[in-house]
Amino acid sequence: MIGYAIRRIAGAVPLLLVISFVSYALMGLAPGGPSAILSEQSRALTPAARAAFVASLGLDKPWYVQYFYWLKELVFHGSLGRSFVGHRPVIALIGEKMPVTMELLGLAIVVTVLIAIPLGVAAATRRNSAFDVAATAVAFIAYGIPVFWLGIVLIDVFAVGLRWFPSGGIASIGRENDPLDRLWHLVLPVATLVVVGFAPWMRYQRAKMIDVLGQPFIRTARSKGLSERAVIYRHALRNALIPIVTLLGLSLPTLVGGAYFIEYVFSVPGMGYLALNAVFQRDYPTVMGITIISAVFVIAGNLLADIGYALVDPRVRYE
Amino acid sequence: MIFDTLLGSGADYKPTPNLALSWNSDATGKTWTVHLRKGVRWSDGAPFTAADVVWTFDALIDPATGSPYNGQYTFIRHVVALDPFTVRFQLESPNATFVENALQSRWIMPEHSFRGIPHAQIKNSAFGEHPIGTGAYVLERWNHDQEAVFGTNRYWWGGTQTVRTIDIRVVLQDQGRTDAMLGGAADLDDRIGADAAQRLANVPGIHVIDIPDLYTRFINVNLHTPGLNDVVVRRAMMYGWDRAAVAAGLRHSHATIANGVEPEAIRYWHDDGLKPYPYDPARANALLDGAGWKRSADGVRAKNGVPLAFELLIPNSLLSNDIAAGFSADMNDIGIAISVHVLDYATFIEQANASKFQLAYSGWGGQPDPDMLTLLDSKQMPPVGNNVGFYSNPAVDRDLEAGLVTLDPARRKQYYDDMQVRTARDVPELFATNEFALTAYRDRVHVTGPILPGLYLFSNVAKWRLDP
Repeated sequence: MIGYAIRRIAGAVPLLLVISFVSYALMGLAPGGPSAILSEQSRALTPAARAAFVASLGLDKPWYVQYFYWLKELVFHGSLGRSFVGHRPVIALIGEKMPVTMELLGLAIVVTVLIAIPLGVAAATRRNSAFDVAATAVAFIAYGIPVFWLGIVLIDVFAVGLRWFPSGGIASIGRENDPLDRLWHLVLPVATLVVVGFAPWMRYQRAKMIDVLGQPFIRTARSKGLSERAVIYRHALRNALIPIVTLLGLSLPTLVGGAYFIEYVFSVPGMGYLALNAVFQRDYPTVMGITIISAVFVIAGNLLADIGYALVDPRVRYE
Repeated sequence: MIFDTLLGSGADYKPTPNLALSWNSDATGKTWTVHLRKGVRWSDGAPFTAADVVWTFDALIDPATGSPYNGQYTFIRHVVALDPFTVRFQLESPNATFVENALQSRWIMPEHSFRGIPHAQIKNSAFGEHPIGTGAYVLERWNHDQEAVFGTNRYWWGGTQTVRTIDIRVVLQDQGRTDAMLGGAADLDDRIGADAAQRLANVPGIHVIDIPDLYTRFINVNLHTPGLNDVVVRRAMMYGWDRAAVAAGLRHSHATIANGVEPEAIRYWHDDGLKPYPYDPARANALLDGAGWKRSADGVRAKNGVPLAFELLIPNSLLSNDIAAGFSADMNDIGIAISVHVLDYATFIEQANASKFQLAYSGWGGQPDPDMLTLLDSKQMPPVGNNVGFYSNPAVDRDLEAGLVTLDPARRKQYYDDMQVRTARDVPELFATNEFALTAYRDRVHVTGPILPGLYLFSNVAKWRLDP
């Protein structure tokens, strides 16, 4: 197992190189540039001043040369560079935003799991019932809703209209350390994420549960005279949770990469918000930093999911 | 609040003593001598001297620093300390913007904090996180993108700060800012939107003030575009554009109709006698008819095979989208077809700077000085300056160039008055609105000092009064 993990990690290095190169190329070839940081139109910004500014950021060279410098800095100094906006180290920016994103998305995943698993189990045990059909229909409709649209609708109804919840941000002024206030701010974004995101979890859970319920050991359990409750929750559910481990592993990257639209719509100052602003401002080092860290977590998430299989399912062995 | 400029800005942006007590130039206007205040200390206790001023301007004019402000100080040849409290600025040429542009605008930095740091490394130094200034306040706590808390600088030269703590919160959403004002969590909200002003204006205990802003909004015109190179067409576009609707619809009338290139807020220099183009579509149509721009079957005017159909480039924002929609409809009424092309800001600004546009949403401002050489002088077309629309009028060139080197305000004003009249006639850009900076504050705050927009408003914050 350890040998397997090491091989996988070693294999990730060339993958990360390719990801970083392609990301840089996309940015370098996209129209627009970081002179947008100097947004004001004033006598200060002569073309010469703009050119000097661009040169001071190393952007007067072709993008592949810039990429090489960026890579050199990362490999030899372990540095993700400094943001073009404010010149702070990218790693510090990410360190500030990541906890906010983890709070939002961690909560969303927990709520999603708490809703989707019982729903999936209920749908599986009442297969083809009216409840099952209804749950499936709702799940698919919800899955199809664009997240930014739902977010705006919820803001319009519950924040602007009814004024039950704040329209955005993560804390009220003067109550930054009040957990209840934070929770109150997170209700709408979490609700949006849960509505749009619970369908796959529920469907996986339902499918696997149906699969497990057809297995001989369930018949054995039933024939022992166990209650249906005990059969479902003690015997079947445990075995049916395996795909959830996969989904959790695959959710890890979103947990750090941020939910871009949600964070933007609800003004949550997390990784997604940072990333989108960085893209709009063409703040290349920040974009690259977030890309690389997200890529590392995608790879790590996949690896953890595979290792998780082996832990929950004794039949899985990696050599 | 942390840093000081050499000179302050009083009513109408007039220079007032600050770190410098007096300033004067010789007869040539090329040598300026500035006498500094004595006994000033940095917030770490070190004395403030001429060396700090020299270091600040040396760093500013050194291209290696990579300051985006570098370009506006190329006229400074060098800066030397004559003694610990006297600084001499040697300019390449006389420059009437010098006092406002350099002495009133640039914060002085502590030389001793940057010893051994090459200019190229300044922007990466830790100073920005732990600043040391001569101002009334010191930075006590800073959670980036969340809050910055300022406490008093015990070495401050200005006496006692009546406002002891300033807590600045970052609220990403307008709605959240308005809520904080309504709920009493915030005392002041600067630069609020027109919608927020509408909501806060009639709330007891909250004042909303309109401060004339140093900003004009306009649509830039690329004069190399066939059709737009005809001044009659541009004048007709001014008559045909309902700018009162722009001001009323987008700013709830916290805006006035611009009469020309200079913002109304620069009181002394703005030519108040100049009448803005009235909204008069009939006159616009008559002008175009008279100049031979005939409507074709599709309603779009054309002459000699050149149709009056143009592309308007805008950055993606609600405001610019709304202005573009109103403008297009108005132009349609006078037989000019406008297609709106929306770009993300980074792409928009690059295209606009590279003159890759026919019409482009634009704005100008931030300075209380009338100098607009880089925008309108014919020698300032790219790649030299910002005359991206290729405007050229020798009389305007003369005004702008003479205005820049004439130090006597009364004589200088004549050049800019003439320039404003000529550009209003030439319409090198479609002038839109002069706007107000809107600030809301609770009545426990008693604002004193000059009521000017942006940072100027806070220049006297240490002496504001606060009810408990």
